[in-house]
Parts: sequence; structure tokens; C-alpha cells
Amino acid sequence: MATLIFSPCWFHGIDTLFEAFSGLVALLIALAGYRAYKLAKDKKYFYFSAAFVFIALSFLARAFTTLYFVFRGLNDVPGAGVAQSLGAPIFGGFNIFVIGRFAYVLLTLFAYLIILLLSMRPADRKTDRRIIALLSVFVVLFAALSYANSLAFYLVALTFLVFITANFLNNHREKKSAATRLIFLAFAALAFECLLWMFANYNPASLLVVFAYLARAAGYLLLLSALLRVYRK
Amino acid sequence: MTARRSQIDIVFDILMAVQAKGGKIKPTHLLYKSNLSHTRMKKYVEELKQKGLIAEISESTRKTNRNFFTISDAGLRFLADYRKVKELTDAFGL
Repeated sequence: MATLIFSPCWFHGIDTLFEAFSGLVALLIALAGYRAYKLAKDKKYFYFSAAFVFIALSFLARAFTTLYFVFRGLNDVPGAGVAQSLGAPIFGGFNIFVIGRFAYVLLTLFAYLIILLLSMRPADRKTDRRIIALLSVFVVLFAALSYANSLAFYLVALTFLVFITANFLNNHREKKSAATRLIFLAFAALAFECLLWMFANYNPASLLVVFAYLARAAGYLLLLSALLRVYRK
Repeated sequence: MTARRSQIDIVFDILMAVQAKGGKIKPTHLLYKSNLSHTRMKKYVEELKQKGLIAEISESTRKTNRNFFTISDAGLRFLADYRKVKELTDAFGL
């Protein structure tokens, strides 16, 4: 039985604002990456931009799915304001849930995979294409199965984010600038968000969900300040 | 060993060399600063002139006629934009 996690009833609507903010920041970073690609004609900027477009689209898919169920009155079901099992007839929108969830997970994991490959040192970045293909297959498999188990998704996402954070920590140690520190902290916050979602999976009604959204907002706020620091100069 | 410079890095270095000299540089100085062979520098300079990023001017005195390269507004804009790209690259370790 799968669980669709919503936020506490009083948080409905606010959570969508959080998604919108994160998506907007992701789009701004994607735009910066695309401008860099147009100027430097280097494919790494294109992939970087694509990763953040994927993240923005994943938030869109998630916000759409959440709003769909909120408007269908899921929050009025006694004791089920936060979570509801997939099999419950109250949904009637199984396909929307599956498609929305699949899109969210697939886009997020692909984005993290691209960011992970890009955050490696240039010498290590030339990973064998077969390894990338294998990782991509796993990402699709996890996405296909994740509607049945949110925990698996958060575990995979957390693993990606831990490696990404470690790469950005190395980058910060080498360059020691304010922007590198902000980016390292941003991805650490996003990893922490995943950890909170894993615990929230066991108790969806708890405030952990709200804290997870706050951790993500902090992560994207840090990314936004890093971007502004880059473009203010 | 440092990594090979990409074409855009070379363009950036050429424009930086012109800007560092107050926006006007002699061809020989540019040759030293850009760290290129004469043939390659000529190729890059021609391309930059075609794109309007630099211009070639000549200043004549009573004795000599000297050529200079000057950076255009488009060249200065390119430098500013590319600096941001470099900042982004460094920040994300790309």
C-alpha cells in the first residue's frame, strides 16, 4: 500500500507556495545556465540548465498533484488530512496520482544525477557512458516503483544529494568563496530535507512535513543568494 | 600541468589584455599577453574584428605610424558577461 503524503490541513496552500518558490529559483538558475551555454557554447552549461529545468518541472508536477487532491476534498476526510492510501476509493484520481508522482520522482532523480555528474572534478567527469546508462535505468526503475514506496525515492534522492554535497564541499575547500559555501550549504539543506521526508513517511501528520518544506525553502534561498552573488558583481 | 584553454577562454584572455592596457594595446604586446603564436593570434584578432569586439586603429606621429587594437563596447559587454559565466562555473564547480 502506498502513501501519498500531504501536509497538515492548516498547511494546505502554503505548501504549494513553497513549491512555487523552489520552482522559480530552479528556473532562474536554469536561465543563468542557458545564458552561459549561449555565450560559451559548452554543453556542460546546457546539461546544467536542463537539470534545473527538470527540478522546476518536478515541482510543477508535485504542486499540480497536491492541488488536484486538495481541491477534491481530501483534506475533509476525517483522519486523512495528511495521507491516504492509494487503494482507497475516495481518490478516484489514481492516474493523476501515479502520473504526477512518476513525473516528480523521475525528473528529480534525473536532475540530481546530472548535477552529480557535473559536480565531479573535470578529470572524474568523463564517466563511462555505460555507467551513466546504468544509473539512468535505475532512476527510471525507481521512478516507476516509487508510487508504491516513497521511502525508496527519498533514500535514493538522499544518496544522490549526499554525494553532490560532498562534491560541493570539495569545491568550496578548493575555491573558498562565499558562493561556493552557499551552494554547499544549499545542497546540505536539501539532503536534510530528504532525511526529514523519510521520517515523515512514518508519521505524515507530524510537523516533520512542515520542517521538510522549511529545509527545502532554506536550500533554495541559499541557492538564490549564491546566484545573486554571482550576478551582482 | 594546466588544462588547455578553450577558444572562448582565449578570446577572454585577448580582451582582458586589451582592457588591462586601458582599452588600447600594441599588436606586439597583445602577442605576449595572449600567449599565442603570431599565426593564431592573427586568426583570433581577425575574428574579433569581424564580430566587432575589437577594432584596429593607427596613430601616426611625425616619425612613425603605429597600430593599436582597441576594445569596443560589445567587447566590454562580452567581458562582463563572460566574467559572470566564470563566476557561475566556479560557484558550481562546473
